Amino acid sequence: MAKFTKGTPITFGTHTPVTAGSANPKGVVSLEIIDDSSGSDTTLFRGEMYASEIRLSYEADTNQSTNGDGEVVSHCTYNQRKVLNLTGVILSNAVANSVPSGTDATIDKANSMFAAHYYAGCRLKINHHEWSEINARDTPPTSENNIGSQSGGLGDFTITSAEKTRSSASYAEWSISAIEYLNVVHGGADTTTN
Amino acid sequence: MSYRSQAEETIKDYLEALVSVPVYTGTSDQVKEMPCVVVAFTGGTENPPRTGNMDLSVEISISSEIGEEAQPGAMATHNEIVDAIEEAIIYADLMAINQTSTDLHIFGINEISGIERDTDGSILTERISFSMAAALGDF
Repeated sequence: MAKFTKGTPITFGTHTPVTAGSANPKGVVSLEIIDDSSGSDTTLFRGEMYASEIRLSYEADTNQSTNGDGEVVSHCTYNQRKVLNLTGVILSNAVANSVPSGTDATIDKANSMFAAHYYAGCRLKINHHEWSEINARDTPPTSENNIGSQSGGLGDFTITSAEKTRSSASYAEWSISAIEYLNVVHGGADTTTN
Repeated sequence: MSYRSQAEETIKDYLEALVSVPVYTGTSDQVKEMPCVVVAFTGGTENPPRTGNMDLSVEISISSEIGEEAQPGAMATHNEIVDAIEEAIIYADLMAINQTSTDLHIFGINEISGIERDTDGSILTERISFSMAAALGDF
């Protein structure tokens, strides 16, 4: 019998479930939130999110100069940055390296994870091995359902705003916005220092 | 045991303690004697995907035989059962299931509707439907 091959590979969902070596059967995203304001790193949260949406934007500020006719003759782009918006439910993360700590797969543990204390200005590290733009540059965190960690990420985000929402008849959610300024090299005399 | 069976059995256990008539599950092959209560899982959607948590829809029906050939006082008995089930589902804390069950955990009730009344010949059936966010297990 002839077999058809018909279809197109397209990126799907927030994270593909993985059942092989780097197991992630639920397709969760591991997060670590770090306070480094004292000069040393203090982890305020290490857990996992079932993300309903991960949105990465590239943004910049711009200036134009115009001639006497009001025509733009020069365009300058600066403050190039990545802006990450992450929305989803927080799971209980019943493993030994969890922060807040606890290895119970219970509602109480899920509640304590949801209520972890952190604030804007903290660093955000993400483990998302399929998406190098957000996968943490520095040791992506692991969690109960996402035990594999891959290097080569480009993410180095700082939280700019965070919202925790409990609403009637639905699961509680986190919504985090984070930013990373970029060194953009256009080639020639342009370097990361300018 | 399937999601359907485990959810139905748990709710059946909860209601059995509250009424004095047989409580059946929707998949039961037992002959249903009336009056009786039937717990039927009518559908579910996993939410969020791949978490194993489900938004479950459940229908509770109370059926009695009324009319000339029925037992004397059948209507009064039927009303008592309806009252008890209504209190157990709507007014009492259905989440109390979490205190005793190790098989089903209810995160919350999304919606309750009913009571709808239906007659088929001498059979009177009243139904309460509800949907809830739940998972199999003891959390």
